[in-house]
Amino acid sequence: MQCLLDHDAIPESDLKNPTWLNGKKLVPNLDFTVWYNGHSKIRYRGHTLPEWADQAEAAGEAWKCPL
Amino acid sequence: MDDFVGVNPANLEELTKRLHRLHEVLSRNGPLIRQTMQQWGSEVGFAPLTRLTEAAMDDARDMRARTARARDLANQKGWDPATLRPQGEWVLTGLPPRYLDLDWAATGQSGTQAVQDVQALNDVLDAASDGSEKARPGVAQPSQSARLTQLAQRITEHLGDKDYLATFWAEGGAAALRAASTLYEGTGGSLPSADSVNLLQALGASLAAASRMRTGTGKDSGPVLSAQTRAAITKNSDPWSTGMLFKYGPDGKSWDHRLLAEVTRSMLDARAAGKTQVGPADRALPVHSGDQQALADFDPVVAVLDRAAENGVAARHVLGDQASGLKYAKMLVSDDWRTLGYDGYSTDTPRRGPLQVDMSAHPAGFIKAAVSAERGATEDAKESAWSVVNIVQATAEFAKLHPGEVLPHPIRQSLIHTADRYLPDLAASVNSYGNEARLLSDQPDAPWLAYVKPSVLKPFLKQALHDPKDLGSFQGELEARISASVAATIQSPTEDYLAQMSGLNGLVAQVEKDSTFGDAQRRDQQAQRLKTFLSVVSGGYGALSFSNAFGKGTISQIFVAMAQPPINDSISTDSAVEALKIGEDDFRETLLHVKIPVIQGLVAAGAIKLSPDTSWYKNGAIIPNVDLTNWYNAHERAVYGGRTLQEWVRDAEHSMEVQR
Repeated sequence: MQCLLDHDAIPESDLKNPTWLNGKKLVPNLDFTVWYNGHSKIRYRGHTLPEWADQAEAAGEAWKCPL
Repeated sequence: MDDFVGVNPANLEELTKRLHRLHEVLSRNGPLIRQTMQQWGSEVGFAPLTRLTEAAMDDARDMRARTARARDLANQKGWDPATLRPQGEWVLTGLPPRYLDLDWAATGQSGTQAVQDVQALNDVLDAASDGSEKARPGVAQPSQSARLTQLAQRITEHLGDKDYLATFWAEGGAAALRAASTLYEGTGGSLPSADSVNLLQALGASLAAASRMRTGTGKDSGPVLSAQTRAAITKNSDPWSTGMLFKYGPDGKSWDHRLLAEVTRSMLDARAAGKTQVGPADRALPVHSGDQQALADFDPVVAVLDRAAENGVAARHVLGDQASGLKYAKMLVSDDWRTLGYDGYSTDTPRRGPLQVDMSAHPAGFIKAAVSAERGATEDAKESAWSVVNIVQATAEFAKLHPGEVLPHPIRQSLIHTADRYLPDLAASVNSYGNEARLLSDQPDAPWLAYVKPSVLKPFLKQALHDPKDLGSFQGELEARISASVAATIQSPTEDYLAQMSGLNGLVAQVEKDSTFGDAQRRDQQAQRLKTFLSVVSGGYGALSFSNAFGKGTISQIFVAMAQPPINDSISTDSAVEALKIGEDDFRETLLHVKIPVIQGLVAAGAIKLSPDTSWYKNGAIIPNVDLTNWYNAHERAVYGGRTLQEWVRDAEHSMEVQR
């Protein structure tokens, strides 16, 4: 998520000033959970959020933001 | 008052008797008259008959109160009730009859009767606590047993009578709240006697009726039970007596849900403080008594829990409270719901013995009720969701405080019930950063959702799914609900429920990995998993009919569908499917595993339209056969609901981690 945020991959219209963003820094809270679940079908830079998360999880420590 | 009427007590008594007889005849024969007349095609309306019967009862009741008052007046004056002349005076025939002035209207009033009955209640309680029946000089007194029965009868005649109930509970509340303790006959006698039970039943019914009633209208409207009376019930220093009014009182649905919730809280607090012994505090049944069953049967806390569970809303008030729900959830999700036990010889020192009686079915029933509101955006649904949040946290807390210990089976069953009903919530919780109930979205029909952190969700699942068979059936249900997830994902524009299920499945897989099942247990688990999956899939998915896709209510429908069905053992596996019940590997191949629920979900969501003569689909259930295999192969690349059939299956497999 932080990777996508850092690279402005999520359009402002999908964010709408959420409580879980401090500037560009992600501070996870329940609002974030609700937002995440509610945007899980939308593709950002070619992949859905669960797909991004799966890739990062599979790579583990070695994962680097590809953007 | 200008309503004074001259009466003669003896005549009044005769009138009372006749009115009673009239009521008795009417109520006994009314239904028969009605039935007979209807049989013969009579068009006479019979509503008046019911009203007449009720009126006869009221009249008899009022007349009896007047008779009692007239007798009292005569006694006060030292008159003979029949002649109304001084006792012992010579009565000459031919003298003009004499009358007493009786306030006719006031004595017919419910309030006056309530005062009489409160007096009668105090009398029977006094007699019981004295241990002797004080006979009033000169007046023949009925036996204590008869007085208890009569009083119970009179109280029961006033269940719909606001004025009576208001006065009775305001004046007699304190006496009623110590009735059980006063009538308690100790460990030797029955506990309590049959006559006492009559009275306790009547008092319970009366309190239940009063709790639901309001007086006045509009601005002046208020509850029949005053704040003081309610406080006396909830802050009662004698919890056992209070509990018995609920034990012998009516079903939980007949009580006011707020009162039941308040009493539940105060009972649980009293239990935590060690004040909920069985019997009055000074003569309580010892906890190490040989009669452990009595300790369980007459437990005041359990009595109230049962009523609140029957009520449902009351249970949700208690566990769904954002401030105090967690505290009470911790008391319920516990392994201390059993009697102390009896070791066969020690009755002096409380010692944990082997003859314990397990009472955990009662808190378990309460937990089930607390999470069983209909899903939706209502206040009740909100409390239900909060109950889930609190129950999951309480379970995690128990696991933390008692490492290695397992909750009693009934409690674990209630946790599984919770997980079943809130499966999509738990799935959405896998990446949750908080324990809270929230509305799913700002759509008008969005349901309340329970979110819990994975750090509490995992120990919760571990407790709930401790038994290999339970784990197996939960896994089978998860797999069977792929169809619901597929359908829901198509219906919902933004959420991917299949992906959320994947996360929950991952957690359950971890629970499975951590478990230390033996080979036999593991076989049980797998068999149960298969059996459950088959019974759900072959049983059809009735709940999965989205009547108005994307319309109002769809989101709630999704949650209802995904939380369905809490299957039970009564679903029998069809013999055709039974034949397919072969080893796990064959099962995956033969049954196409996730393909079946995926297709089922796509059909349910209306994405796949089947012709009515399709041989492998009947009433929402799929019958796996060769035609299905052929159909699948021919449609693999067709696009349904935005993905190809192949993609759906792959996504589902991924979500259930069966692709390995």
